[in-house]
Amino acid sequence: MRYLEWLDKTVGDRVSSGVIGAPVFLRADLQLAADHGLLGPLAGAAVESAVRWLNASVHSIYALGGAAAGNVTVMAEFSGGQSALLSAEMIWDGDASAQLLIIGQKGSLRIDDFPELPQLKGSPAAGKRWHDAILRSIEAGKPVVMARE
Amino acid sequence: MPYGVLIVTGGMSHQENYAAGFQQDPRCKVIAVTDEASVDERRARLNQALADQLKVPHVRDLREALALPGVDLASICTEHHRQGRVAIQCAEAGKHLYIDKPMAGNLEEARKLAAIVRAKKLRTQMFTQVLLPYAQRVRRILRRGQVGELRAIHCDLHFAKGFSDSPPLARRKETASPDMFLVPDAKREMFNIAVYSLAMIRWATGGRPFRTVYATTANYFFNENRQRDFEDFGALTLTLDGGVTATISSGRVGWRSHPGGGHIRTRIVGARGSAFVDGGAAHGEICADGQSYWRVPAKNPADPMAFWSSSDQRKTGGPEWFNAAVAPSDQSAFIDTLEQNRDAEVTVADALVVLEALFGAYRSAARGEVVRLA
Repeated sequence: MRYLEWLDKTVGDRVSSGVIGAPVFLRADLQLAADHGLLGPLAGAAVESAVRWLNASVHSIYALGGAAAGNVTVMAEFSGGQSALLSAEMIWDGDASAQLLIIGQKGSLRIDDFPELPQLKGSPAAGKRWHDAILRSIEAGKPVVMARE
Repeated sequence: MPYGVLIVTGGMSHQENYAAGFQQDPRCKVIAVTDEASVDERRARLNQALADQLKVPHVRDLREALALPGVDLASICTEHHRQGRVAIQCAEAGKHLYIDKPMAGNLEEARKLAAIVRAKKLRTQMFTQVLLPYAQRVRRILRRGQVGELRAIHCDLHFAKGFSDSPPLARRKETASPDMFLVPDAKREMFNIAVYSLAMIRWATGGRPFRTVYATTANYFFNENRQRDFEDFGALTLTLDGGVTATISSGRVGWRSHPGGGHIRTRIVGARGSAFVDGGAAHGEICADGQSYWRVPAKNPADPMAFWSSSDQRKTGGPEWFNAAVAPSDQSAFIDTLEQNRDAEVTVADALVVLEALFGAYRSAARGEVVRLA
């Protein structure tokens, strides 16, 4: 999905410049899936981007929802205590959106974007490992620990 | 006859706002400022200062104050670890209660208070944000069924105050049952801020019960909080009745994180659509030559985190940002409930449910587990 690649790089470049200090929290609401089956992969891709933006490894993933529910919610905790709340949602009436808020120790970065559907063709290329963890967490009803301290 | 209001705890607390709200309502008469007789000298001085400002007597012993003629209600805003017992004392004296959030520092006292209030048929209200335009809009969207059946609700509430020290990042070890929440230079911020989102979600969804909570807390910003072992940030994921998911991020995140008061965002996901409510969307903004970027108030040693209204809260930058319309008075809304003999939007019974979720969140953060709520 070309849009996700653009988003990943655009945000990553700005955060890694240090403009908001060390990033500590990410909220991402991605309404980018026209197909229920893409919600999980989209959430996985969001975790993959979070790893880069927060510059940390994933400690645990707790997920709720699923394809049948029409949305997937993920809470990810990271090795340095950083956290992320991620939501993958269905596109309604052709209106897609990506809303991001990253809180850094010295500021914040916010994106409210409304991409056109041609930018959203295809499946998310990255994040399969996280998608698998998301599915395991939804099935178990509890967090999946990815790395023990 | 006006409603007689007893002000319990004075300056350097949200009582600065609550007392002013009651005093400005022509249906009220502030009788006195009071507190527990055992408070320390700093607190006694701050209580005296508010009494002087309001031009009412300062009665140092709460028991004596509760016996004053004409007291109908108590506005209670003590430090949380003693707020439960103080509120119980006021309720046992038969006073209606206007109470700061969260309602108490432990569940035992909160449950006892709720039982007394029920038995004595008292009117109560906890201060929340539900009267603010953003919360009203969230509830309207849900009531209209604009997004279909509710599936998820996501809230961010961040206060853009305080000087971030950029402490080293590490996973926080949380306490399962915290018992201190507020000291002059630090607050437990999940406790103090997530309470607004929890109360708003409960209120906007028509009192839908919380079923589970999973939470994490952090020290991202302030050395003051680290030194006190108080979190400055918390993230929560909850399930509600009917399979609804809710998430909350809450924290004090530093002056420079937002040009105004901070991010107030709610995303509503339904079976037929979604909606986004930005609490900061209604605001004024100035961009102009001559603006110097980010002027923040000088650090006040008596209130270094800018908790209270009496401290300097002036922040300007480029663009300069100012809030839009003033919300209705929460204190006058409580007086409306007394006059109309009806429940407030958020009563002590609602506040208890919210407190149970908050303490569940601390247990979850301490253990790394999903906690089931009643």
